[in-house]
Amino acid sequence: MAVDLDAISKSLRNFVRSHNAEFQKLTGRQSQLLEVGAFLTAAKHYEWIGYDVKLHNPRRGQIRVKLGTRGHPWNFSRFEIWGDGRRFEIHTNLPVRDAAETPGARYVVDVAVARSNRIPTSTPGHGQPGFEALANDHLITFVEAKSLVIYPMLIAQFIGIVHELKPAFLHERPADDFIEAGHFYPSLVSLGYLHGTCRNIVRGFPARQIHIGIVPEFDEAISRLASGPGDSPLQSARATGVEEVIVF
Amino acid sequence: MGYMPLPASLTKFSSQLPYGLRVDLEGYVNSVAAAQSEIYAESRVGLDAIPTDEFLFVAAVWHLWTHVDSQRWIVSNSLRLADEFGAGSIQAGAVRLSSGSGDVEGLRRLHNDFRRWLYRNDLEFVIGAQNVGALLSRLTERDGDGG
Repeated sequence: MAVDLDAISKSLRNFVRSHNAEFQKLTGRQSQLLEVGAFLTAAKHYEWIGYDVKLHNPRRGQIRVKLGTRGHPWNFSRFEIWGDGRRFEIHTNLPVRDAAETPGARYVVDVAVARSNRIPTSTPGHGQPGFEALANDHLITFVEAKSLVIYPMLIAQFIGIVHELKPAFLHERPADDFIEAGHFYPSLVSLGYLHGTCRNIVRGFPARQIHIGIVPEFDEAISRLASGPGDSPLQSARATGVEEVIVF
Repeated sequence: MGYMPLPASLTKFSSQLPYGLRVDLEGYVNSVAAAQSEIYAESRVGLDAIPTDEFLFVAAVWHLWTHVDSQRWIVSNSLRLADEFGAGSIQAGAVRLSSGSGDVEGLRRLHNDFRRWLYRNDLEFVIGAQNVGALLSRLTERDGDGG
């Protein structure tokens, strides 16, 4: 049956116009929401594998998520996670020194899992050293969030980020302690789907000793998380084994 | 890569979208148009079974729906997770989310209104389509049923 595209298109145009304010907001907050989701998911990952998790520095019952490069980490909420004698923190948009500790070089990662007590929890006092970036050794793993379809070049870009921050994940088996602790691999999460050829790229990671996570359609992953305990969308060697990779 | 002009049926409504969303949607449709023959072949749909304009229009509608739907779920589920950690609301830059807040209620209304619009216009099949190939299959079924 012929579809009256013109009539439907006019109807949709009127719908968009009548909901213009909401569509404006939709555009403006997509990236922020993805980073919020990544932060909460990282905390849930550890809770589900048996760690205790505590939210620090809410303000009047509100989680405050740092976006972008501005602002000090102590002014935003963080998660403290501990268990089995291990203790870590999860921060948002944390500046981190590169793997070569190049003077002055730092990257801001969307979600950082760091060794505990390496980041000030309040403004450094007079005479105390200021905080510019987390030392690279104190970064355990991280998440980058992109509200884009995962095309091959986006994966290549993420591999470049991992090369700058944690290159060992690109050519070595993760350390035993990393595996036993249940940490997730450096991960790229996206609202978009995984473009066709990307599945083949991801399947090839174990043979190349590349240990990173690629998580498309992250909104569905958050939806599953919020409905109850299950599998974390963030891949860890403890869950899947070092030689395996999850291909969504 | 040169892009073919987008169908008027699409630009009629995409021109009303905020600039960023419009660029994203039209870029997406261009990528679908470029891969049309592969999409049809993978879905085992003849190139003359569904007119290009109709396919691209429906792909655009689906893409717009996924934007609205994914935000709706991220917001509601993030608030649920935040509640489990003892927080009743979330602030990220200028974005402030809490159950019942204007932004959250506005998004819920947009989601509900868009869903109703899809049903009224016989496009409810876009809901839940996992990819554009599945979308094409659903569209073929609908048009084949005289929908």
